[in-house]
Formats: sequence, structure tokens, C-alpha cells
Amino acid sequence: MLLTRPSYVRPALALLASVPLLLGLVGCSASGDDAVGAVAVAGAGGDDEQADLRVSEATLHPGDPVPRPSGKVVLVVRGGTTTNVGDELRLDLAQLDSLGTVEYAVDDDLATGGRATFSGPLVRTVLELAGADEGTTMRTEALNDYLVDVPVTDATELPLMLATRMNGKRMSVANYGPTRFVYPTEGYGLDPVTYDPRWIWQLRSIEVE
Amino acid sequence: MRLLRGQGPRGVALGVLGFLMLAVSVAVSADLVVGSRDTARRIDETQALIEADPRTLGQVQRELLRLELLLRERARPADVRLGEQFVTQRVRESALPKQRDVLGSQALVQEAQEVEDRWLTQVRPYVRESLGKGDRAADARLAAIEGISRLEEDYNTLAAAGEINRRQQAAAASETTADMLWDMRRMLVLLSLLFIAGIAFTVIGAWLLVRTNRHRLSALRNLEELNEELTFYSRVVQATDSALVATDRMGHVTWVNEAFERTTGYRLDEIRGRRAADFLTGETTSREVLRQIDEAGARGLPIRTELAQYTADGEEFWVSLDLSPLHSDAGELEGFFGVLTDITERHEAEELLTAARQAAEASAQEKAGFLATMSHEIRTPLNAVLGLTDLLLLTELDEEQRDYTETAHQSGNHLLALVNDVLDYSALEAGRLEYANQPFSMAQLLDETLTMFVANAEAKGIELRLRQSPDVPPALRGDAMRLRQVLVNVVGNAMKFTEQGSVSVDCDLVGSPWGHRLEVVLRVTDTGIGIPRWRIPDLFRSFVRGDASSTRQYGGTGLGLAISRRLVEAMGGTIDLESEVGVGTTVTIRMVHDRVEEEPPPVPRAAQAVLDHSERRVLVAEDDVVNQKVVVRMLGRIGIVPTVVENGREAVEAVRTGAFDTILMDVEMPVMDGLRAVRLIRDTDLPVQPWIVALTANALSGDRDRFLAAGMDDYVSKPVTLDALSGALDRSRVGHVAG
Repeated sequence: MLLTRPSYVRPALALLASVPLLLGLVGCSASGDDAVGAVAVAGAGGDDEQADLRVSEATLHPGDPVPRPSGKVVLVVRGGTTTNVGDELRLDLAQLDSLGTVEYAVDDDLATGGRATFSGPLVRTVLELAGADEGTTMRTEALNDYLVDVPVTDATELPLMLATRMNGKRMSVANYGPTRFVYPTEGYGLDPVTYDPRWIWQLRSIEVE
Repeated sequence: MRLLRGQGPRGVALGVLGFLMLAVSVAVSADLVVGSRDTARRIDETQALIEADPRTLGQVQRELLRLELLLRERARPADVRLGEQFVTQRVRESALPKQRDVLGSQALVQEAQEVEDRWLTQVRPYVRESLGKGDRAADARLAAIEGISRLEEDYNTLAAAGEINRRQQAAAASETTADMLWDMRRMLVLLSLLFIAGIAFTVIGAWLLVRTNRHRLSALRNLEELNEELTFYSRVVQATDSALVATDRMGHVTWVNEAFERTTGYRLDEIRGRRAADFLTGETTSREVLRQIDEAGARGLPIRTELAQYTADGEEFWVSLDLSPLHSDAGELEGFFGVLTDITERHEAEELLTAARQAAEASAQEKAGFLATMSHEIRTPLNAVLGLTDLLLLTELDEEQRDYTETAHQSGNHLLALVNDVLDYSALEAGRLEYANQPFSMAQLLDETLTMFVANAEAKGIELRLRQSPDVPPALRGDAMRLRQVLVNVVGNAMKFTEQGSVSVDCDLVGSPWGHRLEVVLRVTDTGIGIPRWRIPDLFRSFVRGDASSTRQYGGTGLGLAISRRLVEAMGGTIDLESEVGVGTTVTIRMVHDRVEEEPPPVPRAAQAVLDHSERRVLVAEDDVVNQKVVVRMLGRIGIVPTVVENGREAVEAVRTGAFDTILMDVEMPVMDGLRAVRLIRDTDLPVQPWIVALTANALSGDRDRFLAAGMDDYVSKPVTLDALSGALDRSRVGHVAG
């Protein structure tokens, strides 16, 4: 209904063609531009832009054999072609850092309730490392048993970050850590209804299908 | 252009409606703008409700319960630590500003923050402490459990309060949605109405446009046709030779055509605004006609008349004026339209004709007067001649003297007949004869008439026969005198043209003898010379006789049959003549008479007996000495010695002083005429009124009534004969006795 409302208004506007109504239309659109703008900028991001976000270069590249984690495992990826423990790819923080990290600031209203700068590898890179970037869905699971399906396209088309640090600091479980998905809150016009649930925190594992 | 009138109001109405529509549109727009801002705000709230994650409160409770369980079960410190971290995370999360959407109010958010603060400062330290060793840890564990429990309750309360808020907000959102729906419907209805109105207006507008266009086209066409018509009329009007003039209601000239200008010599710009009567009329123009024209004009009626008019040069000309009122469409008199046709020539011809007719009439009048005078003048001396020869024949005469005297007497009679004929004919021509409708006896009439011819028949050796049908009643109603005149004429003719054989008169009744109206046929048959068939129609015309030479042979005026026919026809009858040359002639007279029930007054027949009048006292009033002598001698022949006076006055005096049985009164006398004298006598109180007989040479018809009206009892036409006088005296005696 929210989306269809202007379509009712417009024929009226066209019919009446009155200046006051045009002014009214301006008023209406202003209140609804969150929704309207989303479509306009979707997919505007690209590799070049994401490259600008990069803060550290990768030492571990997709296709490279991944050694068993030496530190505490912070993420388990299943369903990929690359594994290191059984049929899982277990990664510690150092390994994630070695994938090359990006950093950007977002309005973290959902978790910490304010503006924060996150850094970490792109989820895309993690999936490529795991050889799971051909999949369609990431079944993600949190430490607190929260489950959410995220399309692989989010990772391939957006600078979806597997954040390992907030404001340059490691994140405790109490602080939504140790890893969490971070979506850009500016420039992409992502619909909160769809995307808010995908901001999974206290991430434990990703199972790609 | 009149056709296009009336489109204005409709156009205005359409404009007003259009303006109203626009106004409604603007109003709807304004309402929509205001409503949409409000709605947008509400929708933001709804959006917030949608985006809010109410699970957080449940999750914090879950983590609290799990941590409490861990503490109660004295779980491994690592697990407790993790649980504590989960709780911390959830507690933090549940105190975020975004929870306002979940909790529904800032107050609850603040409460959540207070709870978080309690967790961080009052409960979490116990949890951490409980991971140590010793009693303090045990106490801390218990305090932590208790704190967690309370926190859990707090969150439960928060969740409940939040839920209430959420419900209210959801209801409000739902209401907003309903409002929005309602607004939407209203808007849709309005838009539909506007749309329909728009279509209607478009259709009406288009229709009006088409119609107006059509009207304009037809008006243009009409104008063109009118123009052509006007041009045509204009040409006709200018081409005609009749002078045409148009005036306003008051008769002031507004327009004339070229013919008018040519005829009258006035140009339109000279006479525009003037009354035609002021410059067209002159001294010979009939005031009466002008008055009639004015009257017709005042009443708005058309008039057609003729009158004399004058040109600018003062020349008279006659016109036939045809003046018609012009009425407006509303029926009001707008003016007049006159057609003047020059009838000068015709008028002159008519004038000549009228003059000729008047001259002819005057001439005829003079002739009639002359005739009357002449007949009177002729009769007076004739009276003396006949009277005296009549008397002379009664004296002792030798054979030769008697022969001369008789010839003279006959010539006099002949002359009298001629004069009478001429007089009758002129009277007939003038239509002045009058007819009596008195009872009479047909038998007596026939007898008397034939008796007149007995001597003549004997002299000529002709047999005179009378046959009368017994069906003919004794008394009929009609003019016996005229009938006798006709019969005398016809029988006289028969006698005249018959040398041998017979003349017979038959009287028959045709049809029923019992009816009220009886048709009587009188047939006079002779064995005379006859008349050629082809001449018969001429006989009844004036002055025509069977043979032109017969005038010389037989004498007479030739007026007889013509007069007879006129008399018979005037009395409602017919007269026909059949004849064969050498064999004879039959004249048939058909008359219709009314039956008379009573007997006619018995008139003693002269032939029966000569009454003795010697005892009668007779007064004669006569101015002419010769006539006095004639009358006195004639009266002397029947034994009467009259008293003679010379005028009416003397007669009146004589009546007053002496008694008279009978007065013979000349009509025309000096001093006092007969009629006046009679009136005076009738006014005089006498023991017995005398029987007064008029003696007159005024033999013209109509006089008789005049005499009787004046008081006369009878009249005798001059020249007086002995028979006539004797008959009058007989009647006077009978009348007197009867009276």
C-alpha cells in the first residue's frame, strides 16, 4: 500500500494539473524517498569503489591452500570446496585478517546504537577462499542460535563485510563479536525490512548451499 | 445574429461549472496535500513498527533465564562467562534508542536503560564474582540469581508495556490505514465524479460548439438568402412604374422608390419626414377622401381610394392609392405602405363619361317632362273638341253635317288614343305605372269590353263572339283597368286587321277551379290577315307593326302590343301570339288571379239603364271656360243643372253654404287647387259629405293614389266624355248609397 499510494495520486495530479497539487506531490515524495531512492542507486557499487575501502592487502588468496587454524576458531565455513578440518573450513582471526581487510563507517543503530567504523574481510573474499562463491544461499548461524539465510549475491554485489573489529577493537561476544555481517548504510539504499535481519552478529558459521 | 443569441447564458453556465470543477479540484488537492503529510507521518510510525524487532526483549529474557540456569547448576565458569556476555549483549541491545519503536515510548526506553544500568552495575558484578571461590562467590551467586530473576521480571513488565504500546500504535496505524482507505475512496469517488463531469463537459461543449457552428452557418445562409431576396425586392421596387411610398405610424415619409420621385418630382431627401398629405395635395384633392385616409390610418386599416395629387411643379394628377398598414412581428403598427398608380387618363375618361351620362339623364328627364306637359297641353283642347263634337252629334244635323262631325269626332278619338298610348308608354318606360289588386268580375269586364266593339263589328260585318268557361269564378282579384286596357288593345287589333269572318274571345280556367290562385287564359282569335312568323318577335317591341306599310293603312302608334306585353308581364302574366298569314291570329293571355270569396261590388252597367240624375245637386269646379261649357252641356244632357265655381276656394265656400251630392273637381286651378279644396271640404263639418270626383288631365299613373289620399272618391280623366261622366255619376250614386 505504501508503494501504490503515489500511483493513485498521480492520475489525480495529471487530471487536475493544478499547481497546489504539484506542490503537494513534492511534500509526499519527500516523506517517501527512502523507498524510492533504493532502486535508483542499487548496484552502483563496484570493485573500484570497494578497492577504495581496502585497508590491508591480502596475504592469503583464494585458491591458496588454507592451513588449519592456529588460534581460536572464529568462523566455520561449510559447503565450500576448500576445507582444512574435515569438511569444514575453520578460520581464526589471523587468517581472516590475512584475507585483506576493508573498513567503512555505518549507522549501527541495530546493534550498538550509534555510528561506528567496522573493519574486516569482505564476505565475498571468505566465500572465494572457501570455494563456495558458486552457491546461492549462505545459511548463517550465530552463537546465540540465531539463524538467517543470506543470498550469496549480497556478498558478490555488495561490499558485505565480515567485521572483525569495531572502531579498531576486537569485538567481544557482549559487544556483538567476535564476527558479524556489516552492510553499508549509505549509498545503496538497502531496505531495512529485508536487510536488517541479515545483519547477523556473534556469527559462528556459514553454510553455503 | 439573433439566432446566436441565447448561447450566452449557456456559455456562462458552462464557464461557471468549469470554474466550480477547478475549485473542487484545488480543494481536493489541498485536502490531499494536508492529508498526505499526516498520512506520511503515520506511515513512518507504521514503518517503524514493521522494522522494530520485538524479539530483543524476549531474547534478553531468554539469555537471563539461561544464565540463571547456568548459575543455579553451577555450570562451568566459561559457560557462565559466555552466558553473561550474551546477557550483556542483549541488555545493551534492549536499551538502544531503536527500541523506542518496540516499546512504543521514550519512557520505556529510559526504563530499559535503567534496567541495563542495573545489570551492569548491580547484577553483572555478582555474576562475575560468583565465578570466584569461597563464600563470597556463593553469596554472589545467590545475589546474581536473585538479581537476574528481578531483571527478568523487569523485562517481562517492559515487554508487556511495550506490547500494549505496540498494539495501540498498530491500532492507530490500522486506523490510519482505514482513514487512508477512506480518503482514497473519497478521492476516487471525487476523481470519478470529476472525470464524469469532465467527460460530460467535453461532450456538452463539443455539442454546443457543433450546434453554435451549425447555427452560425445556417444564420449565415439565411443572411445570404435574405440579402439576395432584399436585392431582388429592391430591384423590383425600383423597376416598377407604380410609385411606392413607406411612412411611419404618423404618416411621415420614410422611403419612396424611383417611380415615386419620377411621378411626383420630389426627391426622397426633400420629403423624408414630411407628411405626404402636406405636399401632395392641392385644392382639387377631396377633403372627404383625405379624411377617410386619416381615419383608416388612425385605425390601422388598409384603404383603397382615388384622389387628385399634385407634383412638385403644381401639376394635378390623379392616382389610385392603395394604402396598407405595416405591422411588426409583434403585431404593432409600424407604418404604412402606399402604392400610387397614375390614373389621370382613366379619371379624365370617367369624368367625360359621367358628364355624358348626366347630360343624357337630364335630356331624358326633360323629354319625360316635355311629354307630360305636352300630353296635358294636348288633352285640354282635345277635351273641348271631343266634348263639343259629342254634344254636336246630339243636336239636329243634316246628313252631311253629321258625317263631318262624326269624322271630326273619330279623328279626335284617334288622336286621344295616340296621346294615351304615348303617355302609357312613357310611363311604362319610366316604370311609374302602379297596379291595383282589387276584386273585379271577369264576366263583366269581358262584356263591357266587347260591347265597345259591337257597333264596329256590325259596321264591318264581322261576327264578335264571347265564350266564357263556367269554371271562372264571379270574383277575382287584380287590376281590372289594366286588364281591360290590354284586352281592348288586343281585341281592337283583331278588329282592325280583320275584314271578314269573326273575332272570338274565349275565357278559360286552367287547372283546379278550387285553388286559391287561379290561372285564367284569355284567347283572342281572329280570321284576319295574319302575320308572318318571322315578324312575330318584333311585334312586342315598340313601334313595330306587322307591316311597316300598315301604319299608313291602319293607323295607330304601333305601341299597342308592346304596351300590352309590358302590362301583362308587370301583372305577372304572359302574352303570346300565334299567326298564319291569310288564316288569322290568336293572342293568348295568361294571368294568375287570387280568388275572392265575397262578391264584387255590383256596378250597374251603363248599357242597362241610364239612371235619372235630375234630382242630383252637382257642383262643378273648373277654371277653364271651354271645359266648364263642355261639362255643363254634358250634365245638361242627363238632366243635371250644376252649380259652377272657378276655383277651389269658391268650391269650399259653395259647399259650406249649400248642400251638394256630388262635386266634379278640376285638380289644377288657380287661387286654390282641387286637392287642397278637397282636404278643406273633408275637414268641414257637414251633415253629409259630398261624393267628390276629380277631373284631371294629369293622366299619369300615381296621380290616382294622390287624389284618393287627398280625399277624392273617384276620378275621371280628361278629356271628359259623356259616357265617362255618366259612369262616374252612376258610381257616385251607388257609392253614396252604399256609403
